[in-house]
Amino acid sequence: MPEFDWRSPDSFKSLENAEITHIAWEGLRMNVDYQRDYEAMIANSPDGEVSEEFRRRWGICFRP
Amino acid sequence: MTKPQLDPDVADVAPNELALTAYDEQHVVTYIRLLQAEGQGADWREVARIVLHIDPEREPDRALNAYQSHLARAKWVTEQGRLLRGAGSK
Repeated sequence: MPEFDWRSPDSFKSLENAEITHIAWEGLRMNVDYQRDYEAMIANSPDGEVSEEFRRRWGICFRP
Repeated sequence: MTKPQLDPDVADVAPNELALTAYDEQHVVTYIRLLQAEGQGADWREVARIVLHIDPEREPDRALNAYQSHLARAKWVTEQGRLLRGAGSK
């Protein structure tokens, strides 16, 4: 995984020609709200099941 | 999808439309940088100066408005898979 540094635009060069799925994922994983939501979901879901609300809120799906 | 720019200038206020705009596509790296900076607890003034190219000492109101609106837009854009669904729609 490339190491991005928000102070250095050049560190994002790999996104210039990246697939939208890649860009979308990088955006999502940098979102602190998502990080918080994800941690809370994992903590409340020992079997790894993803709640419908989580899915809807972040627009992602997980394969079992 | 419009090719994202790595270090573009920004508008005084981010878009507020209910659909992804060409501006969003061009500024997606800016959005990611803002999100990462927030996650690292960076001082918004430094972020405004480096990422948004607005000097918070000289233009505090403009810098704060641009910072807050672009960060809010960045969060909106990354929610609900909007980037994915917006791709190729224009």
